[in-house]
Amino acid sequence: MKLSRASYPTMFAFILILVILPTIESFSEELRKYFFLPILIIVIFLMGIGIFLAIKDKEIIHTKTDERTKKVDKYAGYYSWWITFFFIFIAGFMAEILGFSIRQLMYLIFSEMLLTLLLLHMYFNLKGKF
Amino acid sequence: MKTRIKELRARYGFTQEDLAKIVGVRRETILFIEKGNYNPSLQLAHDIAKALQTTIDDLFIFDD
Repeated sequence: MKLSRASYPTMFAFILILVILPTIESFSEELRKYFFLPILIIVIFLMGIGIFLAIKDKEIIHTKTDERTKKVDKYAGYYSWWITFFFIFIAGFMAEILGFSIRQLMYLIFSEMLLTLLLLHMYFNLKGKF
Repeated sequence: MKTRIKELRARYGFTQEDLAKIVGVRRETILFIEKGNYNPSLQLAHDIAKALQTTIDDLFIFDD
């Protein structure tokens, strides 16, 4: 899976919220209360950078078509971002109705992002090779 | 029409994919241009020349 520069802050955000935070939380309840909000702020900041770079590098919003083929190439990152935006919208409603905590909602969204990114990259990398 | 795109790409360490991404075309389009199988628009020629820090005159060799 070749990562574009927009993926790096996003990947750091994934690691923070899905690996480091649960690891810290597993040690004690106190650490859990102390670290959640700062890590969440850093994650939101990293995601903001990721989205900014993705827009700048035309990974989310395409404005250029290839002049020879007249096609716009859409890669895993493009579909992944839009599926995630849609998922956040749906998850927001579910969270409201079912009463999820912020922590649960964050874990849900980031798990979906990581899974979607991986599956789509697998699809585009392996397409036509079987 | 011949081009020096491949030579200049190598100088700056760009793959066809890298250059394609910079100028906003598919990798195959860069390949076609390098092989002389496609004549780019003036805008694309300019964008490629700019990416490779040269001029259109220096980049494309016309058969006169």
